Amino acid sequence: MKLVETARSAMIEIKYHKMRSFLSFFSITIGVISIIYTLTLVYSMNYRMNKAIEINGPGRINIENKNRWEEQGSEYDESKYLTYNDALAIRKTFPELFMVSPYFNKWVRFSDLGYDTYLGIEGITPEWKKRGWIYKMKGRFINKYDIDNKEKVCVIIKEGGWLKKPKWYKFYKYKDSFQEYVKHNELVGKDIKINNNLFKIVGVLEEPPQEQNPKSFIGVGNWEPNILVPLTTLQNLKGYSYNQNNSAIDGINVDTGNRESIEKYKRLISEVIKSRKNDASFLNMRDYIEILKDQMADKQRDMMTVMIIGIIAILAGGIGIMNVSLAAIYSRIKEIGIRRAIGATRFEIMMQFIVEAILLGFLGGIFGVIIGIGAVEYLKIKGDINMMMFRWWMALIAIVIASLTGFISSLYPASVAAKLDPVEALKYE
Amino acid sequence: MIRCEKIVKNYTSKSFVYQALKGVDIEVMENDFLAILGPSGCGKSTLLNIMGFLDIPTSGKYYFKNVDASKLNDKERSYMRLKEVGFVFQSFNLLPRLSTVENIILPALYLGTSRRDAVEKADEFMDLFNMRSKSRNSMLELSGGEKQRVAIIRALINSPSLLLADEPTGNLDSSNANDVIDILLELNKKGMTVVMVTHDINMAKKAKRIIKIKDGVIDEAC
Repeated sequence: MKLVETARSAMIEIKYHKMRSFLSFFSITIGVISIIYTLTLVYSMNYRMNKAIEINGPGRINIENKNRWEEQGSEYDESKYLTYNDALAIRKTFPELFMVSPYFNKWVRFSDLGYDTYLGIEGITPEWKKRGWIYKMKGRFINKYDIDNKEKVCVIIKEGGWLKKPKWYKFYKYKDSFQEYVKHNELVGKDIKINNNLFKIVGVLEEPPQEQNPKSFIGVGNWEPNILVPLTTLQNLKGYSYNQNNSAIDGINVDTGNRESIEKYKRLISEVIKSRKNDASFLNMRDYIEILKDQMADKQRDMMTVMIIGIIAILAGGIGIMNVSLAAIYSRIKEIGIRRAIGATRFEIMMQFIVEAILLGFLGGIFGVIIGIGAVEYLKIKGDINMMMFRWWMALIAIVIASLTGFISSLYPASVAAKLDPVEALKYE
Repeated sequence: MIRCEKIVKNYTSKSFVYQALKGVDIEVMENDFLAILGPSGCGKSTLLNIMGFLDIPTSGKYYFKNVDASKLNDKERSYMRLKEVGFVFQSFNLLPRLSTVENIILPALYLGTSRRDAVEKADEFMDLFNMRSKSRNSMLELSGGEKQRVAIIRALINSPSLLLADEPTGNLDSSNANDVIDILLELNKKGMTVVMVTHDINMAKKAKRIIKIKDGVIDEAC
């Protein structure tokens, strides 16, 4: 018998036993929903991880002061902190490094935005732009001259907004006043008052819209500054920071250029610092992949939970199909006998039950996909950026898994049906 | 066409062995119409099942067109049931969830015939048997006589060379029973070999030959 005829016959059976069919594929549906959710999360996390690595550099190392919290308030000892000079020494010793970017954050007072506020700004060097560059630039970036001469210049980062605002945004009350100011004013060439010092805005970096901004997907990097200034200028500026008015910086971002050399340079940089300060134990060196993994660990746990629920649901669905198929066989012994008597082979009887179970799994899969996509869309509206990474092949995989579950769980019942003696089956009432 | 040589069929359970056939020898020629007559439980249906490749004898040989049935595997036996033999049963054995035409074309579909060709052929038969108007009806909507006609058409759909009828009139009133026998006679007239099992002497008398079976052995042949 042609497969299409077997499928037609299976559909008749499924239609005839609507309730029984629904019950047996319902748990498959639940399984498929969780598969779609899990796949979307896995894909999103992988995408975010790869994108983060791509943007931030494959050989990225973050070097920070281990003890900046503990030492707060005690007497400042330069030998226990990273300084700008350490960054210069690393750059000089290893000119082959793709990036050596020291940074330093401070909260400072802005007084001429029409209101008084404290904003976080970041002191950087021109090397900052070597990685993570996603911006459209107006004006110029901070250059070596600015650093060497502690120039009072700054670069503003302008948020990209939304191409199409999500529905939840309507309920999002917080308005970033600084970004509102940036959005409505032409800033390049203007002066801005920071801690009563006039800074010239030399450039504006415009982020891509949220939907296209890789950083919205990356979700790493705890501190996104609004304003960038030369690191040397910021060090002399009064403000609130972990390292009050001294030579210490917050950290150095290094990119070796490739992943393989990370461990080597971790050791070499540590040796350079040790030779300068007789101690490198205050350093906290982490490669970027470690940081990413830490940040994704929570999501991974959620994902595992959902996945386990999904697997259990699919298994329950499979057992349900097996149970229904076995029950169907016992209620259709006579039919099996008739089919055998008119010439059906054992294989054809087997196929009949297998195709029926595959169709049940398939239908469960289709329902699961419909509900799953609905859930994904709902979560998207709620602002879950991971759900924006849903792809149609995920639905396809979920349906294949569902159909496969039907297939596997039908093998035993189908073989029972095929082994029935036609004479005995015909006599069965 | 058919040759049964010393056919023995035993049914074995844990405590005893029941001998349904005790060495039956039968020969059926092409275009024959043989009635196997006997009381209930005498082994006549068992013999028919063996002739129709549904059952295997415990010992003895069964030849169909000189093919030794014992040499055939399950798939080949299924093919013989599909292509060479048509079955008509006392209780019709139609599938209740299928319509008249769906029941009829089922063996053709198993043979690999396209649905279109199978339906075309079924339509021709239904015209012949006055069943065309009932082609979309479910089995619940048919009378006993109509059901048996559907069963006969289903048996004929793959143009078999042998028609086996197991008490084909057993569930019918006398008028419908006579109609069914007339159909079998007509088919036989057109060249079909028919073997019919019955316990009704009047029906058996309409066949060309009668074999009586009693307690698993041929009691009398006429």
